Amino acid sequence: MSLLDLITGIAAFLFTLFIFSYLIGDNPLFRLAVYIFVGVSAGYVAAVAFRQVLWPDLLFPLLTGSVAQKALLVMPLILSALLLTKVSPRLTSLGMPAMALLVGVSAAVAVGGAVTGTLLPQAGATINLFDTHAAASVPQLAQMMFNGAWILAGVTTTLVYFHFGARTTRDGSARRFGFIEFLAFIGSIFLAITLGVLFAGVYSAALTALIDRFHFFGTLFGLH
Amino acid sequence: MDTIKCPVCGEVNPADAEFCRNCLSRLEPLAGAVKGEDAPLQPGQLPTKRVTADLEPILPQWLREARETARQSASEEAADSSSNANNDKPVASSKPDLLAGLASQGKGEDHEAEEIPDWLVSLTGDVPVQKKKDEPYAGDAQRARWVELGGQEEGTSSNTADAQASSGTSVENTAPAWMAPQEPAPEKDELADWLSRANQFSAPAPAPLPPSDQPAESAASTPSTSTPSPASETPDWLNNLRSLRSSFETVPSSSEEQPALSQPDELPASASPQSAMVEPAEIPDWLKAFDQGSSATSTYSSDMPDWLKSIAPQSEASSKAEPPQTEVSPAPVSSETDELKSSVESTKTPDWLSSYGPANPQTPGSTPAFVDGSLENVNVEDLNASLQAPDWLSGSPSETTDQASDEAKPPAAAQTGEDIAPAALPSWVQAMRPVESALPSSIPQSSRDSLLEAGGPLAGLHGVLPVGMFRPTSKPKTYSMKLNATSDHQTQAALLEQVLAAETVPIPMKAPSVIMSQRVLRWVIAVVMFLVVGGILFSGTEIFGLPARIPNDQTEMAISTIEKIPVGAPVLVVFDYEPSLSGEMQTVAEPYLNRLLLLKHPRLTILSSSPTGSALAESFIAGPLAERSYKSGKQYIDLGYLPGGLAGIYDFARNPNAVMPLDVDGSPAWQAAPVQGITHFSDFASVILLTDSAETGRVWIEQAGPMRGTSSLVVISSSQAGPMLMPYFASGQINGLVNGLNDAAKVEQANGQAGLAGRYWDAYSVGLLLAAGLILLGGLWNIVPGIRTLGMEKDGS
Repeated sequence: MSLLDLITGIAAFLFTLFIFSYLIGDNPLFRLAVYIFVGVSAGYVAAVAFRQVLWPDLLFPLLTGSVAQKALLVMPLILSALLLTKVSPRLTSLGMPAMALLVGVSAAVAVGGAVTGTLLPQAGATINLFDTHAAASVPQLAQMMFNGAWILAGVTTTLVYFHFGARTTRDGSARRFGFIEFLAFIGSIFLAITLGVLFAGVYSAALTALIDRFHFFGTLFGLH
Repeated sequence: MDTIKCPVCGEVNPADAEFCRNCLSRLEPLAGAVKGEDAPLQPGQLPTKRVTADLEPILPQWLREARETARQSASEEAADSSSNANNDKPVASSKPDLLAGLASQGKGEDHEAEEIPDWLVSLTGDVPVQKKKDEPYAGDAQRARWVELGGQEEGTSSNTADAQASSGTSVENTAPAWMAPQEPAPEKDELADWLSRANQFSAPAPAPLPPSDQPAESAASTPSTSTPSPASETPDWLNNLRSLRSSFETVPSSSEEQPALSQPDELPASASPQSAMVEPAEIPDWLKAFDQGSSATSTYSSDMPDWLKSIAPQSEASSKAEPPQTEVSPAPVSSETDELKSSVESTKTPDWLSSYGPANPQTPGSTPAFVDGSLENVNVEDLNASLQAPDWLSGSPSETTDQASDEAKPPAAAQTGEDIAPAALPSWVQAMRPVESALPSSIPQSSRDSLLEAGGPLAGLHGVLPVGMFRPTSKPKTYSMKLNATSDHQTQAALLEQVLAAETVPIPMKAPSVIMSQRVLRWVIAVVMFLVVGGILFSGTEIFGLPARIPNDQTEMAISTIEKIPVGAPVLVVFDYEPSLSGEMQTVAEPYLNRLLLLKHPRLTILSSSPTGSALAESFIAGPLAERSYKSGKQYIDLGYLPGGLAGIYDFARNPNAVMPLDVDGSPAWQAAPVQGITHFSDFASVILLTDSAETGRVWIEQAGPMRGTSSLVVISSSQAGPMLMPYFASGQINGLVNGLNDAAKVEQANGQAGLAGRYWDAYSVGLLLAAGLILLGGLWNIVPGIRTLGMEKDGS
C-alpha cells in the first residue's frame, strides 16, 4: 500500500465516521464532512463542465474555429451569457429565454421518448402476454396466461386506483362507485407491494454500501 | 333731551333720529324695528317712488357741480330757444340734467377734454369743438343726453321743435334716427348702441313721416309717442304695455295740433283722432293691431302673474287715494282716452281677440285692464315703479308732458333737492329692504341690544345676526348606545372568547423521554447492525448459500448477451451513478464486466451523463478491473461527460461523432483505436448501462433504445432501481438486467470465480434478515400498546 493510498484511505475512513456520527445527532463533524463533500463535488463538477464542455465545445471553436463554426456558436454563446444573468436577482429575467429553450426542448424530448419508449412498448408488452402463438406448450401457455392475468390485473387495478372521480353522498362525503372502489382496492394492494419492493431495494442498496464500507475498513486495516 | 350715540362715528344725535347726521349711518340695529321711511315693506306694498334727482345731496361734489352747470346752461338754452321761436310753450329747462355739469369740464382744459369721452361731454348739450364736424356723433350724443335725463327734456324737445329747427344743428341733434336718414352710420359704442335700440323700440310710428312734410309741432309731438323705455331690460309684455300707454297719452296732443287730413294713412290710429270716425267694417289692419294691443292689454287681468294682479288694484287705489299722484296724470289724456276707448268699443272685436279677453268680464272681483275710468285712475308711474325699473328710465311721457306744460313748476329735484332727508334711498333700493314678514319678530330685546359686533371684520356693526338665532326646529333623533345582541350573538361571542382563550394556553410538549428512547433505539439498532454485519463480514463465514441461477431470467439473459458480442467488438459502457453508491455498483458490475473483458476483450468506449461518471469510470477500471490491464486510448477511450441530460442522450444516439468529438483529455475521440469504425450509435456491439437510478435507466432506454439497432442493451443497476427497470426487460426493450448484489452473485457463479458479491453475501443476507426482524419487532411493539389501550378502554366502559 502506498503512502497515497494510506492517506486517502485514512481520509475516507475519517469522513465515513463523520457521516456515521449523525446517528448521535447533528454535529460539527457531520457538517464538516457534508460541507467538504459538497464543495469538492461542486468544484469537480465545475472543472469538468469547463474542461469537457465549455472549453472544447464553445470557447476553443470560437478562438480557433472557422467562420462557419463561429457563426454557429453565436447563439449558444448568447444563450450562455443570458443564463449567467440568473445569478443576479435584478437580471434574472434576462435568462428566461435560455431557460425557456432548455425547458421546452427537454419537455419535448421527454414526452416523445416517454410515448415511443415507455407507453407504447409497455402497453404492447402487457397485451402480448396473452399471445397464445408464443406458447410452445400447454403448460407454458398456462404460465403465460397466469402471468399475463396477474400483470393485467396489477396494471388495471393500479390505473383504476388513480381514478379519483367520485360523487357526493348524502352525508357530504365523496365516494367512488362501488365497482371502481373494489378495483381501486386491488390496485392499492399492488401499489403496496411495489412500494415494498422499492423500499427493499433501497435498503438493499444501502446495506450493500455499508458492507462495502466495512470491507474497505477491513482492507485498510488488514482485518481480512 | 334724549340723545343717541352713533355706533360708527360716535356723533351724538337726537333720540328720535334714525340716521346719524354726521355719517348717515343707521342709529338702530337692522334687526330692530325700523320706522319712518325705513319701515319694512309689507307684502304687496309698493316702494316709495324716488326721483334720481333726490339723490343729489349724496352725489360727489364734482358731479353736483356738473349738474348745476348743466342746469344753468339748459336754462339759458331754453331761454334762447323761447325767444327765437314762436312757441309759447315753456322749455322744460328746469329738468335736472345729471351729467350737465360735465359741460364745464368739457369746456375746460384740453387735457380734461381728452380724458372725458366725447359722448359724455356731448351729453351736456355743448358739443366739443373738435367733434362738431362729426355729425354722426351728434345724434347719438343727443339721444344719450335725452335718455340720461330720463326723457324729461323730451317735452322740451317736442315743445321747442320749431326753435330747434331754426337753430341749425339742434334739429339734427334732437331728431331721431328716422328723421336723419342721410346721416352716416355712427361709430359704435356701448351706450350709443343701447340708446339706438331704445329709440328704435320707442319710435315705430313716426318712421314713415318724411321730415320735410311733417310740421314742426307734429315732429315735436311725434317723438312723444316714442316714450323711451329700456327695451333691452324689460320684457316684451312690458314694452307692449308702454307702447300702448304712450299711444293713449299721445293721442290728445297730436289730435289737438295735427289736422286729420294731413295725417298720412300710414300713421297709426293712435296718433289720429280721425280713426275714431272710421266705420267698424272699414277698420284697417293697423287699427286692428291697435285693438289687438288694447285687447292684449285687457288680457293682463287674466294672463298677468299674480303679483301683477295684486299690484294693479293697488296702483289704482293708490292713484285714487293719493291726490298728488293723480295730479300727475294729465286730464286731457283722460278725455282723449275716453274718445279713443269709445271708438275702440264700437269696433267689433274678432273672435280670436275675444278669446284673449277675460273669461267673465262681468265677474265681480275680476277687474279688466281697461274699463271706464280705469285709465284715469291707473297710475302708470306706479305700475312702472312696481316693475322695479330704475327711476331714471321710468320717467313717463305723461310726467314729462305734464312737466313740460307746467313750466312754472320748478323741477321736483330742484324743489326737493335740499329737503331730501339724508341717505334717502331710491325706490329700487327701498324695494331691496327686508320685508316685515321676513324679519324675525321673536328676537328678544336683550338679544337685539347685544347684537353689536365687538370684534372681527364686522366690529362696530349692529344687526349682525348671531349664530344662536338659528336653532334647530326639532331635536335630533337620539340613538341608544346599548348593543342589541341576540342570544345567538352572545353565544358566538362566548365561543370566540373561548377560542381566543385557547390560543393563549400553551400546548404541552411531549415528554423528552420519548425522544431519548428513540435516539437510544436508533443507537441500539445501529450498533446491532454494525456488529452483526461487520462481524459476519470480517468472520468470513458462509452461512447462507449463493442465490441459485434461474434460466431465462434477466441475469441469465444478460450473461447470454455477452456470449453474443463478438471478440474485440466496440462496446459502449455508460457510467451513470453517483459516488455514494459506487460501492454497490462496483460490486454488482465487477463480475459482469470481468466476464465481458475476459471472454470478449471488447474495445470499451466510456461515457457518462453525470459529471462524476468519468472519475468513477477511471476508478472502476483502475480498481476492480485492474486485472484486465485496460489502457486508455488502446483498449478503451473515455469520452467524458455528456451534457444536456436526456436531450444530450438523444443527440448522442443520433450522431455520436458530432456530439462528442473529443475525449476526456481533449483529443479527437473518434480517431482512437477503441472507436475505429464507429460512425453511428448502432455500430456499438453492445451498450452496457451502469446506473443507480431508475430514471436514468429509463431515459437511456427511451432515447437511445430505438437507435441501437441490433446491438444489445444491458443494464447493471442498483438494487433500488432494479424493480422499476424490470418492466423494460419484460417488454424486451433491454436484453439483460443485473440488479443488485443478488444478480451479481449469480454472475459470479456463472464466472466460476469468487468475487465481492460472494464475500458480501452472508453479511448481506444477515443484514436483510436483521432489518426484517427489526421491522417485525417494531410492528409488534406498536401492536402491544394498542391492544393494551383497547383493554383499558373496555375495562373503563
